[in-house]
Amino acid sequence: MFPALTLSYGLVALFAWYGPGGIDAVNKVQVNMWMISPIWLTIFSLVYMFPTGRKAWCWLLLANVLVFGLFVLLRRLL
Amino acid sequence: VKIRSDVLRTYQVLHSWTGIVSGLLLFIGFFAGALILFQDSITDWATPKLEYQSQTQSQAHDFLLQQVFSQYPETLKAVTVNFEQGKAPVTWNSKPSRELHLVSQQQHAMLAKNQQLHVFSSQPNLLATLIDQLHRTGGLIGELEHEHWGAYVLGIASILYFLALVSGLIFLLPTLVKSLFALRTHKTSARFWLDTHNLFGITSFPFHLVIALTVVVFVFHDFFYAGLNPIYGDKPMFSRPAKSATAFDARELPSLELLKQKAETQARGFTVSHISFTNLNSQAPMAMVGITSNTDVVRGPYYDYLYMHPYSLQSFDFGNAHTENGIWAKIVKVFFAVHFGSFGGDSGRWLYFFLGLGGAVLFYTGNLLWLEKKFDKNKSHQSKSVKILAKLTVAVPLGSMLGVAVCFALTKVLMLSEVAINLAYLWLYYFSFTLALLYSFRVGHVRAASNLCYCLVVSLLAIPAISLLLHLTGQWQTLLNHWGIDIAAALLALMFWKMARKTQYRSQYGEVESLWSTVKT
Repeated sequence: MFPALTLSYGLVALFAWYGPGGIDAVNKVQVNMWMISPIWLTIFSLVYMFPTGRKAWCWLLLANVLVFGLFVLLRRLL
Repeated sequence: VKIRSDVLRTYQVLHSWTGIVSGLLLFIGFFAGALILFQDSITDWATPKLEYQSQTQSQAHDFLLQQVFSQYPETLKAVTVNFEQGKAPVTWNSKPSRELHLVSQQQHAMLAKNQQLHVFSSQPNLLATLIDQLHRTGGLIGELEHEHWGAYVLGIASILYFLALVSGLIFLLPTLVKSLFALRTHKTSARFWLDTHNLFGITSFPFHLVIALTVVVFVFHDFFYAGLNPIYGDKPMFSRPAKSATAFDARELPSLELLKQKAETQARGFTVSHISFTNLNSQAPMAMVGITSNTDVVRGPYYDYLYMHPYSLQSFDFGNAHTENGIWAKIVKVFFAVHFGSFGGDSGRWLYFFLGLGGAVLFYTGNLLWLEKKFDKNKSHQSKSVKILAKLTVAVPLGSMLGVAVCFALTKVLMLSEVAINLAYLWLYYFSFTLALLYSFRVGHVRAASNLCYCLVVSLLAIPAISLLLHLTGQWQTLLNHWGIDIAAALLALMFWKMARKTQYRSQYGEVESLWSTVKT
């Protein structure tokens, strides 16, 4: 539940800053907010596909690190 | 489709749990939600015809508004100008606030023949608003911060509902093609319920996904925005309209016709139905322009809104989909509309009405399936959870519908009396609901099922009966297009009567080793 939520924030963050329109587009913040829960709940509902809870945690944490790493990197560079 | 069997089992367990926990609450949410798709029709049906039917000429609106301002200065804070037929041209609330006041009075102003200001007050009928409240909170009372905690409970139920949807789909996938359109009426009743449940679930799957997701956002958007804060860093998330240096004066308000024209040129294909002004004599006055279209997507259940500066007539960006770069607002508008069914006018609403009722059937049959599975044929060893859930599954849906039906039935009688009707609704609803619950626990789910159905039949029949009686005695003139509610009530009464008969028959002559039999083994 929690790593899925942070992962969805990470994906939305990338979209908010580097997706179409960039961070300053008018009214885009609402779309960004709306996107959090579909991504979050889709991951949340599919984690039971992992054979064990440990594997699920590992993969989701890894995905989190990658997404947020990319986000921080892009923010530094651009 | 091949999915490993242990994964399938996990999803089956997940589906049962999330479904059982959220099902009954969602039932209330769905059937109340289906009803308030026709919010305005309910209010029209429940409000006696008032004397303001003759509409003030549009040029006279400005004159009327200024008169209202000078005689009732409190309206400078909040007042609404209506352009629609059947509404007084200028209205305001005696206690203006965003919160719901059950005993407040609505003030209506119009011009009499001699150009004199004529103001009268009436008690607004809030039946539709209260059903909306029931829809959003499941009828749970109490507030947390500024939000009803029932709404949070429904928000959490919606998360579970989303999980139930996905898990249900996943464990159905392997046998989907084989079992989807099989409606096996001649095997066991459990088989029949299962087929019904699957059919409803699969055919309306996208609708359910959309409802689950939108509810989560409606309830938890404050938290989601808070989480976005660090991502935005020092970028502002919302731009607020700048305050002007000096306060404005309502006497210098531009003409309403001009404002209306400006709004209608910006939002092509829409017509302005009303304008709500707030804080006119301040530095940050606002005009919220309600616009409507029967063919276009609107953001709210009925109206779309443009936010305009009432003096400069500039429109604000906030949520404005009618500008050149309004693409983001347009997307958001669609998110709202797919919850409210407010696309394509009334046809969209009818579609959602049946989908909503179908949802209620889905949750009810889901509970029945769980009960059938856990039911022990040896009745003396019945587990506690089965007994309790059986009673709740009968009492909660029937009790809630009974409460609403009683409110409808007594509406016209109470409106004609001096009773504070909107408070009375609360008493009627909770009284009926609690009574149904107590009754079910007292006599058991089998007898409660048929007898509560009979109660529902009586209260539903009372709706057209009272309408007809008041109409014939000339105390309440029901317009032709308002009889729809009465006819629907009569049809529903017929349906519940059949259900009650069947339940009763089964309890006496059906399979003895069944959850629904009263015969002792």
